[in-house]
Amino acid sequence: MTSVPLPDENRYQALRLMLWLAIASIIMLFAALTSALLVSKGKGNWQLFTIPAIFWVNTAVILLSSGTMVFAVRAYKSLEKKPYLNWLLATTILGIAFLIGQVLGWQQLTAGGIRLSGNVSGSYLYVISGVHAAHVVGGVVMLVISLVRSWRQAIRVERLAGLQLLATYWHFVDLLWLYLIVFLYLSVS
Amino acid sequence: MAHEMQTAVSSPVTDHVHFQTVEGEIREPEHIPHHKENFVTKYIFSQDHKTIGKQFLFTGMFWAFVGGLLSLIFRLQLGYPGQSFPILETLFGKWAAGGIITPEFYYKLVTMHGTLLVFFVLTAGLSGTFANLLIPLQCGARDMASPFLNMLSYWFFFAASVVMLISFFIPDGAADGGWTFYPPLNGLREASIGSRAGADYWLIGMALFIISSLLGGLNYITTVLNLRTKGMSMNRLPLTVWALLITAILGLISFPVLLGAAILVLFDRNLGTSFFLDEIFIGGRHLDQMGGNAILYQHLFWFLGHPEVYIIILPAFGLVSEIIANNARKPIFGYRAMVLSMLAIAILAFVVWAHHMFVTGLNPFVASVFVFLTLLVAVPSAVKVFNWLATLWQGNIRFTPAMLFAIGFVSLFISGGLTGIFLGNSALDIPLHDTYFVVAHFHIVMGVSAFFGMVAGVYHWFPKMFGRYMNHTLGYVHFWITLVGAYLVFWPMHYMGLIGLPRRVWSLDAYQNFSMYGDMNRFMTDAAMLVFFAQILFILNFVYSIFWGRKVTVKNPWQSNSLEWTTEIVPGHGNWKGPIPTVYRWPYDYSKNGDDFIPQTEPYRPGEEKLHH
Ligand code: HEM
Ligand SMILES: [Cu+2]
Repeated sequence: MTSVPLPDENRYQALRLMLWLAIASIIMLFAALTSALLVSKGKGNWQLFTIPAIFWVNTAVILLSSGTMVFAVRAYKSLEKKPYLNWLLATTILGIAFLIGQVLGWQQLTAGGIRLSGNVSGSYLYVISGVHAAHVVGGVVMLVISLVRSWRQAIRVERLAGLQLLATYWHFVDLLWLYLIVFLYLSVS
Repeated sequence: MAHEMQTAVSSPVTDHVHFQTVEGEIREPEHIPHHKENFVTKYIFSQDHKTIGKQFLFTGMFWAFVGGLLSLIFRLQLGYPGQSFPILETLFGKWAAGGIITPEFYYKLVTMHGTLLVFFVLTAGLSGTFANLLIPLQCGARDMASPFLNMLSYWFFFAASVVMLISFFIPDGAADGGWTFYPPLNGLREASIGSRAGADYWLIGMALFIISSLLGGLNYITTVLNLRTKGMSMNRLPLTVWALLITAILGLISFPVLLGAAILVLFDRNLGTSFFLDEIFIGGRHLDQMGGNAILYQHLFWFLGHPEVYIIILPAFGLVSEIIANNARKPIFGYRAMVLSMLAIAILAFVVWAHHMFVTGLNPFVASVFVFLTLLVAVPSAVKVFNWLATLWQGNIRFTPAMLFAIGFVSLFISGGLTGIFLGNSALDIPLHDTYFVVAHFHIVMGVSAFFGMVAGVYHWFPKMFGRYMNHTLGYVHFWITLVGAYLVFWPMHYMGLIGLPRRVWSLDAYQNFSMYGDMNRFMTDAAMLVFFAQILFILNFVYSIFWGRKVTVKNPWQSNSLEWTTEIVPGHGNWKGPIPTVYRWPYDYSKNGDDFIPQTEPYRPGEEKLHH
């Protein structure tokens, strides 16, 4: 596969814009799903229930992972490989923990009688958090890739921009979750 | 992405090679490194935007042929109801038992015809081809911002195509619930034969399609905003690029909403949720799914669906503007008004979707707001039409096949746009909705128009793509048969719709009072065959000309101003051999100060009046 390369600065500038555009379209996806929820709720036949506590724990976990990501970028900037790797590893682990937590959350929901195929209010919770989780999976995959890559290579200033892109995406899925959980909480309980 | 990282080179500094970016100038690598190319990387998994554009074009043409053929088959049923065509039974077996197509088959044909033409031909085939070919060439870039994602965009489209194609051959056949895919018909496996596996294939195919168009859009927007050559300010961009940029933005905002709807339908169908299902009885059995809302789907669908019709027509706007100015040898009339009207149309596109839903029990007050907003669309549309006509006015017109199709586009867009004004009034739409009047409206204003824009683009840029010309005589034959034929097929539908003939009905004889249109329907079917025959001519011309067409011997065969004609006749990877040219003026300096044309790369001459461009 061949491609005509752009100089680094141009390439990252372009990739940054692309990332923001991608974020805009992801926002539209969730805007669609959450406004669909509002329409369904407005129609009535809407069962209220309490969101299992583990979803709040997960919220703390993913917020924390944004913090560790900030430190990872900081360490990278000061060219400290060891701390950088540790922070990045912490972020990855927290990301995976979040995903496991979500699965546990869904299991608790089902155990508590809120099934995917039950009242539509519960279905929305599963689908919205599920689609969000798919985006976190994408982030975790990128984290693992950059972890493996940085393990083997020296820290290079040119690569900082790439890491920053990943950080932006990671903060985005984090904030997105914060919005979603608050929104879901207000809608179903 | 990993690959792009590896190919990055550090940039040796040279003085004359520049690159304009949003934040300023950045130097470009002095020469393009040469990679070993083999057949696979050059023609199949290519990252060259020009090759990817051709891949979109070939795939789009394939689907246009298939989609067109599907419509001929169901037109046979409409034109010759009850008549047996043994060949159909030979080809389709149980779907056309006794040589007459079954109602189930009819609905599959209509559904897939709509889906393929709207999405696979006029969205991917049109935007995919021309955004890829023209954005880097007309902006002055070596390639798209991310050639790798660009390649992925095509292969997602290819995967979507394969999924759709397979769905034709599975035992229960393809989806049959209409291109708009409304539940509950499409939300329940039990609802119809096509709602079994076929509908899942449809949803997965569309999901892949949406990913393809999002990946493409990211690249198109970024390339236009970030990678224009020096001097190419936004108000010097060819209107093609403006149109493709706005199209990509529309897609980026609206397609995710359709993806959301598709996800919810998939859950309803396969995992027992009831987002769109409520109180349904099938075969006397009451279904478990309760509490959903089928109208909600329509809101989600049309929030994409309406912008989608502009995603289809905007690229045609751009191509036609460029072709008309070039062949009228006149500056485009009202460049700014053209850009602003496209922006206005794009913004309005997001606030009119409920005009597809006037009969869903919409609150009449809400409906009247949508009526008002819908009718506002007529204003920028009229501005565009006026500007095209003013550009043609007293032009020194060259009637190339591309130009004829561009003029045909304007005619069709006027005819179809006028019926939009009928439909935009809720009081008129209530009787007209779901009749052939709507079919006539959208085929003329969108289907045939956008097809004309696309074909015009193919004739015009064929020399750039393949270094040869298409045959003009065949082009004229193609044009006249298609224009006259398309009007003959779709014009009568207005009258049928006005007396209430419903769309999506297998046998029009089912209603006594519509049998009076029997002869007319036969005539329309015959006209449709003629039109399809003309498209075969076009395909033959296209294929023949790729290999044996008259060779292009000059760089700029149409005496055009825009940058793509400053490259080699068939540009290689990286587009320009030397440095990327600098731009000094807008692309529409035709017949200025005694010059027939002044390319964008010509600096202003001493004493030359500096316009705002
Ligand atoms: C003055 C401009 C226009 C107005 C006021 C207008 C209005 C309408 C309305 C109210 C409907 C709904 C009819 C119904 O289902 O009862 C409709 C259908 C449609 N319009 Fe337009 N339209 C305009 C231009 C366009 C353009 C430019 C396109 C495409 C390029 C387009 C494509 C369509 C399509 C595809 C449908 C039918 C979709 C379906 O039900 O399958 N329209 N139009
Ligand atoms: Cu519309």
